[in-house]
This record gives sequence, structure tokens and C-alpha cells, in this order.
Amino acid sequence: MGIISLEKSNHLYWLARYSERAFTTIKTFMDAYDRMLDADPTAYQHVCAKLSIPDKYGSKEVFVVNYLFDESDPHSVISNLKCACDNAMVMRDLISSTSLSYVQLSLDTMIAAKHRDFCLLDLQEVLDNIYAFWGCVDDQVESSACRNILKFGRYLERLDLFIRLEYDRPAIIKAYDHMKYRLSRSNIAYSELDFNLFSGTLLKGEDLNAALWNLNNIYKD
Amino acid sequence: MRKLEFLYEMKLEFDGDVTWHSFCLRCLPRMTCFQHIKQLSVEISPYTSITNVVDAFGNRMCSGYIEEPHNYFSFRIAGTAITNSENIDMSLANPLYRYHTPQTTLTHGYEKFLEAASDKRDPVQKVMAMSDLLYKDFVYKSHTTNTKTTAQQALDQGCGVCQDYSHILIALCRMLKIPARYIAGFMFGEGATHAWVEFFARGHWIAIDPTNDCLVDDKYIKLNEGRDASDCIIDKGLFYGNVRQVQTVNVSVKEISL
Amino acid sequence: MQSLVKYTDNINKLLARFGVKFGIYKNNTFHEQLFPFDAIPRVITAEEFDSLEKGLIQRVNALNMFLYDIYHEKRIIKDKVIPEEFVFSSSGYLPQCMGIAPSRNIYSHISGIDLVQAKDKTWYILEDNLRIPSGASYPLIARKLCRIASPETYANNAIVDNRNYGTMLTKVMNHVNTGGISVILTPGRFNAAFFEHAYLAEQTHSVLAMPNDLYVENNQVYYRAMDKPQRVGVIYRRISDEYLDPLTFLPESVIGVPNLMNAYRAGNVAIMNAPGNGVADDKGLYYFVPAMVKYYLGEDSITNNAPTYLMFYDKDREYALANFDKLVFKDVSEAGGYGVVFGRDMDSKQKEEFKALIKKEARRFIAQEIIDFIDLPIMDNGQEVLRKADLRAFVLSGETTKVWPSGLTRFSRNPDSFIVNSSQGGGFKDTWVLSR
Repeated sequence: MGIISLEKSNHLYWLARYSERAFTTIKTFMDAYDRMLDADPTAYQHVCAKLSIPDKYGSKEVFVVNYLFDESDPHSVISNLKCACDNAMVMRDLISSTSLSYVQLSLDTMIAAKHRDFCLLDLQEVLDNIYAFWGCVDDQVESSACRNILKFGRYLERLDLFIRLEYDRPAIIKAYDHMKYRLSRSNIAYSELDFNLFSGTLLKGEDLNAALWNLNNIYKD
Repeated sequence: MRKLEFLYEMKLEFDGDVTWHSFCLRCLPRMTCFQHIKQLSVEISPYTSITNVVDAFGNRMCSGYIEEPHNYFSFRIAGTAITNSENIDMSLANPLYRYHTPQTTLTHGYEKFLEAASDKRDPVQKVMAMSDLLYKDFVYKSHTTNTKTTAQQALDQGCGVCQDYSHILIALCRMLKIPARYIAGFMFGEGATHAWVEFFARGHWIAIDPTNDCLVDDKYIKLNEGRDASDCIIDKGLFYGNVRQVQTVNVSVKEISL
Repeated sequence: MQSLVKYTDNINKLLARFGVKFGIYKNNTFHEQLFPFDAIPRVITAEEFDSLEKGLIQRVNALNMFLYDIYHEKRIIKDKVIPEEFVFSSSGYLPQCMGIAPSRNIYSHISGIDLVQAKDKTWYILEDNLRIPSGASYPLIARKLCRIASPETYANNAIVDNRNYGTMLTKVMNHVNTGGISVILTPGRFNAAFFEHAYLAEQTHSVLAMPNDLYVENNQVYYRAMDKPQRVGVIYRRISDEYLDPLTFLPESVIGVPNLMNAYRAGNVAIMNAPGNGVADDKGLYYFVPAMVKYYLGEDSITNNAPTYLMFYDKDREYALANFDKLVFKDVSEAGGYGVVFGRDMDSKQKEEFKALIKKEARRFIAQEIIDFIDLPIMDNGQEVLRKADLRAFVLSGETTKVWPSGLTRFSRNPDSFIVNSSQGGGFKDTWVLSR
């Protein structure tokens, strides 16, 4: 049908942000885990610092379990997937059962992994499902308005995380261009002021951490 | 026969803004054989378009919707009514007026009223006998009941207002299988809305005011009818906003020359 | 069939990925759980279905005529076929609906008729659900998934395709639409049947609306779409009558649409199912359905009611009190398997108390003969066992009345229980209608 209410545009936006957040943080986790194997056992602390997550883990072992699976921790990967799923659940009529099933599968995989010996392959499966979700969005979601809101949310979240995680400038510019393109086509009400302030900071090459606040205010709830 | 000029004003003031305000007002006098309504004017503020609708009991309503933020809501109804209590309303009794509602169900304390009616053979005499006793027995006392109070609660506490007198009498009528309905309206000389009862006997409707223990004459203007007070609520509304509200109501009914 | 059972795990995995769940409240918190699926289908032969279909169409047509009558002329009461008490003192009768003519005069668009089959193969109607019968989505999606899990089963058996439910429902919605978009109105994410609401919205290409998404202005219903409000022509609502419009029914309802009833009365929107249908699926009214069929259609009822006694009638009550142990008693105001007691299960003190209650509140109770119904096989930890089961048939009324060639078969997992409701821990099966 493709008729979207304000409430639904909210769910679409947050579905996109949470699934992207889960996706990028899993990749970040996998990098840190790799470094902790034989290079730097404190690598996780850098991740926490960059993402402004309080380091309450104390050790690498606790971090590995809790950062992935602690449902009471809003920063954990599983919490992000749950939020994505909660938002997707009410969007079945817009995004299709098939797209929704990949969000559900990524959460189910995570829940199943929690009760097994930890294995990086499980995380790979979660990533596969999130990839499948985005592929499915392109293929199954008829409404272009719906796709644009989803992708706007996705690239905004990616931009936010790339800035925090200190990705290089070309990667940030690329995420920004995607975000801007989707915003211009999504037809949502947004804060032009915040968008311009953020864009100005980016183009002038100033400290983007200071403009994160503007970035997160572009979309008006 | 009289000519009555009536005015009903209601104002709601909020201590903040409300939005998404839907309302439904049962505030227009009915056209009946007892009253002819002329020069009716309705003003609602903030301005919005109004739809005139009629409910299942034939009551006339104004419904509307105000989406923009506003911090007050008011309406004003004015007009004249030519009243004539000598006509006869022979419209058939809706079967529902024979059935109790939660507000008109009595389970105890009603026996003496039925007893007062027991030696009368004519239903009109029966209802009048019960109304007499109710008038003597029940105390008029404001602010002791609210719009949700049931006939039983009012009877138990022994006091209430016109709504409660009416609910009790309706309950008693229905126990005697006499169809009875609740009426909301205005009465000459009262600064507030009033309520009374109509019951069906001798093939037509008879209006009785149990609060004043008298038959209704041409000093009354009928707004709404229903099974009980909940069918006759004059103003209903729903909005979004966490506010406190203050309501003021002004009613006036004056007699003017014919 | 064997192959289906072999693939049970695969089917359950597929059901999980599609989020086929229902919610329940336990200790005031909301849980969602998978609706247990048993792969052994209930099989209805072509011949059996043929007769069921005729009977159900007749029954639902009569019920729709009854609903129109009872909110208009009330001929059936005037002609003394049904005592008026059973209508006017029923909590399902909504005076606010008097005089309203719903779009195309259809009241029950989706009727869920619960049946059981006795050992002698006779089908009995247990109850009619004309308000918001739920459950069609479960066998619908299960069939789709079973066909993936075990394709050969469907190649080797002549099974009528049931995947047209979305199309059938869309046709009904379009038939009554008064000019606008179609919406399915859900009370929200934390409703027991939310999966079904969302899934049916997808299947019918309707908009899934939350209560706040709709409003009434100028006596028209609108959907708050992002760019501009969209007029709504039909609402398939999954909110019960009393919460539907806080300015007409319960004022404290926060899931309703204010002034919806005014727009509906003016004919500006269709509501599926119509408000006020509760009067016709009351367990007391059930007794009179065969009489309704006769009265409105001039035909004998094809469907069978379970032998029922109305405690309101002296003769019936005397019979029930004398044959207490062989009857099951039902409180007409309860639903979902509650308020059902078996005479034989009570001790002597309970019996006396219950008999006194029946005499005091005769209108409240019916008694029924206990039907010895066919138990269906289910898989329980790898073993085939027999369990009580019923069938909810879905009858759709649009331009014509049609029976969906399938249905929801629910079973009780507890060997001693007769109660098959999902809210009480039951599971479900697919229902096959054979094409030959």
C-alpha cells in the first residue's frame, strides 16, 4: 500500500538505525576480538571509549559475553537486535513478512548463540541475516517512500558510528552522501538547521564529534 | 402555551494546550409535540466545522474535531421554544425502556415504594404514588453524587440530585413493567440543567418531575432522552494534553411574550 | 502425511522465523510464544465439506438477517419466535446501533463457526463467533510453510488450496468499502493476536493502523498519513465493541476512535464486523439459530446444534436438573472456554449451590448434552496420541457468502482437557479439505 503514518515513519527510522547499529557493532566487535587474541588484550576498552559506553566489564572475558548477550544492557548487540525486531514487528504490512523474517532470524540466531559456546560463526550468521534483510528491502518493499526512510536511518546511524569509531574521511563522506541522498527523497519532516550545521562542520573538516548532536537531531520524532 | 427563551453556555479552560480534540455535544433541544424550537443558534469556539448528527435515541448532536493546539473550548446554544404541555406524545415505546441498565437496577430498599403503589390500579396513579414517597423520603443534596452514581447507591445514601431522583423512579417504573425513560433538559427558573422522567401509560408518554413531585408542564424544555443519564450526557469530548481543566456552565430560561 | 510429520521441526523453524506467535499475559506481563503446531492435519472429505459448506452458508445468512432485523423492525420478536429478554438483556445488544444500516447491510463479514465432530461423524455447531473471530492466519501461513517443508505431500494428496484467504478477505473489504483506503485496526503490539493483524494487513494489502492513526473530522474517518490525510472506506477492526469509540461506548477507552460511530451511522465508513454482533453469538441466542433459519429463510437448518437446554424455559430446566450429571453447563456471558462446568465433575455441595444458582439466574445458563467427539491424533514427544479437538470454520460474507476451504483446528495438549483455546495452552493443526 505504501501509505505511511508519522508513527510508522518513526518505526521505520528506528528499525533501520538499530539494525545498522547491530551490524556495525558486530563488525567492530569482531575486529576487537581478533586483536585481543594475540595482539592487544585491552582492545575492547578502546571500543568502549569510542562508543561512550561505560566500561563496566572489567575483563576481556566478561566483555565478550556481556557486550554481545546481556539483554539488560541497552548497549549490547542483542538489545539492539531486539529493538530492531520490536520496530520491525509493527511494520509487517509495509516491509513484508519476508523482510521481517530476516530481522527475526538475526535475533533468533543471537538468542540461540547465547545458550551455546560462543562462536564467531554465529555472529557471521547474524550479519548474513542483516545483509539479507537489506537485500529483501530492495526487492520486496514496494513503497519507495518506505525504502527511503529506511535507508536514511541506516546511513545516518552508519555515519554516527563511523564518526565515533574514527573511520577515515572517505568512508565518512560516503556514508554522508548516502544519508543526504535518501533524506532528500524521503519526504519526511526534518530539521534543516541541524542538517546544515552538521553538513557545514563536515565540509569544513572540523571536529565531527561536536556535531553528532546535530546529526541525531536531523530526524524529528 | 408559553414562549421560552433559552441559553446554554459551557466553557472549558485548560492550564496548557490540548490537541486532537474530538467532541460530541448533545445540546440541541428536540423537536417534540410539546415544544417547537425556533431561532436556534450554535456557536463553538475555537472555530471548527460542525457536523449535525442524530443518535440511536433520536437525540440531536453536534460533533467536531479540533486538531490545532488550544487552551479553551466553549459552546453557546440559544433559541426560543414554544411549549405546549397539552399535546399528547403517542410514539411507541422503545422496548429498551422496559429493561434495566446498570444505573437503574435496584436490588434492595425499593419494597416500600412498590408497596405505596400496590393499592393503586392505574399505572399513572402508581407512578405518582411512588414519586410522592420518593419526594418525601429522599433528600435533595448537591455534590453527594456524580454522573456515574447508580440508583441503588443514591437510594442507599438517601440523598442526591435530580439525576438520582430520576434514576430511582425509572428503576421503580421498570420493575412494574411500566416503560420509562430519562430526560435531560432545562426548566424555567433553574440555573442548571435538569433531569426528569417520562413513562408510558394509557397509550402515551407522561412526563413527571420526581425532584419537584409534579407533572411536567410548559415550563420545561427537553434536550435528550435515553435509558439513563449516560445516554443523555450533554458534552462529551476527548483530547490529548496533560492539563487541568475548569468547567463553567451557565443556563438561563426566560419567559417572553407570545 | 508421514513426510509432513517427519519435517515437523523444519516447519516449526519456519513458523518461528515468520514470527507466528500469539501473546498472553502472565502475572501482568506480556509474553509472546509460538503457537504449537502439530503436523498431522485434520482431513475433511469433499463430500463432508460439501454438506458443511451448505449448512454454514445458510446459518451465517440467517444470522446476518437476524442482526439486521434486531437493529431495525425486530420482526422476529414481534412474531414471538425469540423472547425479547434474550435480545434486550444480552450484553451484546448495543442500543447505540439501533437504526444503523451498515454498508451493504452486512453485519457479520467474517464469521468463525466452531464445530466438533461426533463419533458417528455428525458435525455439531459449538458456537458462532460473529464479533472478531481470530485464527485464520495460522493455518494460512502454516500451509504455505508446509508446502515448502514437504512438497511431495501436496503432490500426492488432492488438497484444496487454502492460500486464497487474503484474496477472499480483500474482496469482502472492497465490497463494503464506502470510498477510501482499507485499514486493519489493531489495538497494538501487545495484543494476543497481533501477528494475525499484521499478517492479514500484508495479505490484503491494507494499512495496519494503530488507534492513534485514525481520527474523525466532518463525519469522515481519516488515516494520519505522513504527507496528507487519507480517507478511510473500510475498517477491519480487531478492537472489541466497547472500546471502539470512547464518545459512544466506554469513555476510558484509549484504543478507540472518537466519533467513529457517528461516521459509521452516516454510512461514511464500513466497520467489519459490525458493532453490536455480540447479541447474535450469545450462548443463549445460539439455541434459537435453527428457528432463525426457518424464520428468515423458510428452510430447515442444515447444521446441527448440540442438543441444548435453555434454563429460561421451565421444561428445559426441569430436564437439566433431573439429568444433571450427563450435561455440561455454560454461562452465556463467558467466552474463551471459561464459565463451562460439567455436572459430573461437581461434588454434592457444589451441585446444590449450582442448582440454586440456575434457578435464581435462569437466563444466564444453558445446558448441553456432552457429545462424545472424535479425538484427533497428535504427535507428543515422538508418539502419536489422541486429543480433543475442534474446528473453527471461517465464513466470509461479501457479495456472496463463502466458506474458506480450510479452517483452524485447535487441540488440547492436556489429555484430560476439553478446552482447546490457545489462551489455555492448546495447539493448532492445518485443516485439509480434499478435492475428491
